[in-house]
Amino acid sequence: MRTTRLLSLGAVGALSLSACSGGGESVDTGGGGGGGGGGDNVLVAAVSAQPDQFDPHVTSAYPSFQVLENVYDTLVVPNAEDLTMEPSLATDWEVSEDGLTWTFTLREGVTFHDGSEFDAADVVYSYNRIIDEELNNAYRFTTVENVEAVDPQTVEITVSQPTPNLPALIGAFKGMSILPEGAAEEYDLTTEAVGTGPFTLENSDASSTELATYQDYWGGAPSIDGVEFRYITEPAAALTALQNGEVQWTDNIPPQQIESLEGDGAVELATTPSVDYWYMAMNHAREPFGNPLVRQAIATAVDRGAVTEAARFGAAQPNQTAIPEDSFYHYDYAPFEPSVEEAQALLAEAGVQTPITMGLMVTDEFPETVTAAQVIASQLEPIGIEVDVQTVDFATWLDRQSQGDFDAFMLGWLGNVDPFDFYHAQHITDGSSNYQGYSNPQVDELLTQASTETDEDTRKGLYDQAAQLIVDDVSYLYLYNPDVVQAWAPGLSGYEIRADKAINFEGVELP
Amino acid sequence: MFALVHLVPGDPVRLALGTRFSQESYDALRERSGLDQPLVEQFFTWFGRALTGDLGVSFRSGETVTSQIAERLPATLTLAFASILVALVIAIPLGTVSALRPRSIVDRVATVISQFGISVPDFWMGIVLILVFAGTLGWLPSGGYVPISEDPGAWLQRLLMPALVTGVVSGSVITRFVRSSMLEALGSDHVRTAQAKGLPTRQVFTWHVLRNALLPLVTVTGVQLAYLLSGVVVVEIVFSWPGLGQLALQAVQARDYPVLQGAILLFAVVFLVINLVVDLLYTAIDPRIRR
Repeated sequence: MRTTRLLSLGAVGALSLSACSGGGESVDTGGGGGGGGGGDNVLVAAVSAQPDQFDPHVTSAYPSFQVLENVYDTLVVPNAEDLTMEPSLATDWEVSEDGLTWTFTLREGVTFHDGSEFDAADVVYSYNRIIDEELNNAYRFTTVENVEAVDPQTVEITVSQPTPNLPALIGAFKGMSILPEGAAEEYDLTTEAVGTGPFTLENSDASSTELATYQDYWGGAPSIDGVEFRYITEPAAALTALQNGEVQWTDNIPPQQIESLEGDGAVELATTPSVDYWYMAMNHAREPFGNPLVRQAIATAVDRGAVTEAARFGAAQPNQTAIPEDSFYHYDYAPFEPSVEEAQALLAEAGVQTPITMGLMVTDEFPETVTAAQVIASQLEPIGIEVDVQTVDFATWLDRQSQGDFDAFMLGWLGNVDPFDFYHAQHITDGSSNYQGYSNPQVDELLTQASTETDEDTRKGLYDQAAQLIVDDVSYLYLYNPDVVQAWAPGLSGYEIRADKAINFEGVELP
Repeated sequence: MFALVHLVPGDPVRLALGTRFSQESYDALRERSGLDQPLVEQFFTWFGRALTGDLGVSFRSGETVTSQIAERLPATLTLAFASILVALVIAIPLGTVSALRPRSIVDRVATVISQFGISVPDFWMGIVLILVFAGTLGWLPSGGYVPISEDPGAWLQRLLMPALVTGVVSGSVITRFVRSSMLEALGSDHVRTAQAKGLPTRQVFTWHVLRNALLPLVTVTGVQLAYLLSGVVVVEIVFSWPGLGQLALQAVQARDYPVLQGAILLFAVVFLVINLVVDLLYTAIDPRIRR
């Protein structure tokens, strides 16, 4: 019931807007009552899964963030073109000479969905909640010593060492959202949301999640009346729903059909390389994979083009480093040319008696890893490495990874924005994500230096050098950056596909 | 059951935190969800609460398990009973006809149909139906669920395809039972006696064949219904049907112990209740059992 009332309120807003612009589509506001869920001017988006919950500081699930992206705001936000940070709830920020004090100037005239005013106390509350309760993203505040409200419009963050990527740490995704002071005590944040974003969370059940337009949104209320996220897990069903007009947007597209959709007039298809990367890692503590020559042999035997074609039906960019081509931090380095002879020579040089067996652990949670592993297995066979593809469920996979119980595994890192996200914890000695057990003092030094370097070009230089060593030593065997693939109804406008897979419907207008 | 659920490898805390987190966050969440307590203690806490109808709170969503199950129960009940209806509508005529004319063309066609229903994967049948009826023809929505109280028309439209798929699968199984139990009844002495004393075929069939053949039919229908009520994961996924099967699957994947335990408990109760109902039906159908 509440949904209906808010939706029709929204429709009035949209009407007056289109009256001003002298045109636009008519919106049916009359009648009262109205069927449940989805009005004429509500965008229906098909997503592949139900959000687990809506507390931005607690969830780690992508389906939740698809919704939260439209409900909450962060101080800064990655820009759609190159993912550099731009203003959101903070209009301006500066860092002191010594790099230890960051000052954020906050936007005025912002209100939360419960009507309360946004100010510095809310930022302090939100960040301290993450830090004090050791929530998911507490690791992002490792260098943060204090968060303080200087005045209602100014927040000061002091850090223990220069942290050039602080804006990326607090802005890269909605896990760092700003809640009103005391929100966790006042609301049940797992089911309710009190953000400052363009839409309010109205209702969520086992079939869909409904958002309504927030009329007092600081960026100007969206022209649509709301968004309905409908969960359609089966890609073929999601695509059918888009083609017959049940939904107007989806990111759940059967990969094998991408090519044939490119000429389809009933569907607008968009792709862009993502900031995700998929890789294979070998256990350096297990012989013979501790020997860099063996790892190089395997890296030489793998044909990334064929892997990409099989795993993603070509909807990906093969890459021998982690950072995709469009990024400022991309480093053009590809030393491995697929060759069986060279790979065999490297194995001989390493003194390895073939045939050997390598267990390759993958998970059906990410079916593309299973396909990729099968291709890799066939590519390693000619050099005398017999790959035993072990498909396990994700929970078991994570257990075995953390126990070091593997010869090799395949997985991806998703949603990386800063080079720190791409390289640091994965390759520094004893890093929290360095499950393969890589250790190179030179890499450690470069990564440590880069993590506090404030000059962008110098920082890029340091990461380039580190990347080169990581690739040469095959700490990770990088495979590809997948494409983001989304589709929508022809005529839908104001939507931008993004490399970080953030789904933002703020500016959307329906056909 | 409790021990089994916990014995499965996999750590719900690590799954909930995603891929990047600190050890401190891990410890904090483990403590909050009570997983740092000894297993025996966890069991007695859970058991004590379960006796009062409190099944705990989901790790994933923070909602109570009872509310999550209650939310999905109507969709599951709807699909299960609709499917059984479809199954019986298919199975009883088909099974009867082939039993009356064994080895005839009709019998062979019926056997092929039921073989088809058993062996064709339900996800494939589901996707084909979606592509034809929602895609090409555009007659039905591709999936989803609308409560009957909200819009009976929309409810029926969305129910047709999933009920057909699960109904065909269950119906194929039931057809075979109908056929064999009919054949058995037809060949029994009392039927021959009834025929010999000149009763009309119709009367022989309804009173002497059908009634005796009903017993195995009730049993197998009960088993099928229990299976449908515990959720048909694949069909639920294909048709975006928010049933218990999907909930249980998500709970397994996330190692969401409270939800998983709640779901298993419910399935166990469903089996018990259906067995009881089947037993009661026996006595109604066959007065000899009453003694």
